[in-house]
Amino acid sequence: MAGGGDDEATAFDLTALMDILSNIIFFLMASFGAAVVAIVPASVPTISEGGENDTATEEDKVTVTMKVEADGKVAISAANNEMLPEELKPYDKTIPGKDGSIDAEAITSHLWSIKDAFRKSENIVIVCDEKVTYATLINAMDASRERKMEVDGKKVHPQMFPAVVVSSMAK
Amino acid sequence: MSFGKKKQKKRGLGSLDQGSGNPTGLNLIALMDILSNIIFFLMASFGAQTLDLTSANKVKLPYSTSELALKMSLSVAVTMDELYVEDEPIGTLDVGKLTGLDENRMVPSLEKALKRVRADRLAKNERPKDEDEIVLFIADERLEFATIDRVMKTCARAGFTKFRFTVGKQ
Repeated sequence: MAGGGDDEATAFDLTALMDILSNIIFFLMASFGAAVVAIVPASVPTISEGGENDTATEEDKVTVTMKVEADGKVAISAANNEMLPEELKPYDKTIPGKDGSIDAEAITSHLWSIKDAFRKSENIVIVCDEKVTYATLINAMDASRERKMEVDGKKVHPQMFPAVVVSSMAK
Repeated sequence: MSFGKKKQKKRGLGSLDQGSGNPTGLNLIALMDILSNIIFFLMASFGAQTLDLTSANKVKLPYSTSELALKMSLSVAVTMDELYVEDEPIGTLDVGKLTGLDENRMVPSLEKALKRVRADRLAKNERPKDEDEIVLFIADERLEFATIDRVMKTCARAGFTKFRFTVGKQ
């Protein structure tokens, strides 16, 4: 650097460095879109020592059970330990499969009607047939977790049943 | 650009060395700052959202609408041929079907590996955290629930009852 007291700027050859930085940026941008992963939380049923179960007891809360079969047929029911089964019967519904998988739109729509009636509900038990694929299970979890809707022209995703317990059918 | 005898004042694009025939000098420092910032941002985001596991490369992840960002924890990966704990192969599958199940239809090698992880943590005298109880579950989208269920129940028997299913963002 030959500045030596005068205030004139010294020029560096930054072109090579620019080339390297540009290459790194293109590489990172290309990889960025391809490797994006997310997570979906879930749990398995556990045995409590006191013999209690997780079924809802509050009046504005129900525990939903969704049985998924290999052909995409889904049976939905709601339970609350303090309510009579007859009171919750209107929320039972069987939704046939669609194109060999579940009918996610119909499931979301029915679960939304349950959520609308029991606003504090968050728990859902997804019970799968042995032949149901992992992809179908994830689709079922997506269909029950949130609803995509538009309110006053804005897209909103209100949560429905984010607390998922995954279980198998009793034999 | 030149380091010639005669120094030039470099002021952006306006510093033409008129008449001398020398190349034009551009002030690239501002552009360098921008590029460096972009690189740091991309590298930070890249590291947070990639799954740097060999086992994960052998899995075709299902797609989901979930927006929850990936958080690493103890990983259990199930491919169509192999079962991994923390990227170490511990068992085999026959085209998606678990082999070597015990009389309770659990996976003994998986239970052993998970209990070893638990014992190692205890031996290190680490204070238990909620994160320690969660399994990062990486599975192929083609696997049947019979297999998924066996693996999850074995994890639960080893004390890991909570899961984070790894999915591709739609």
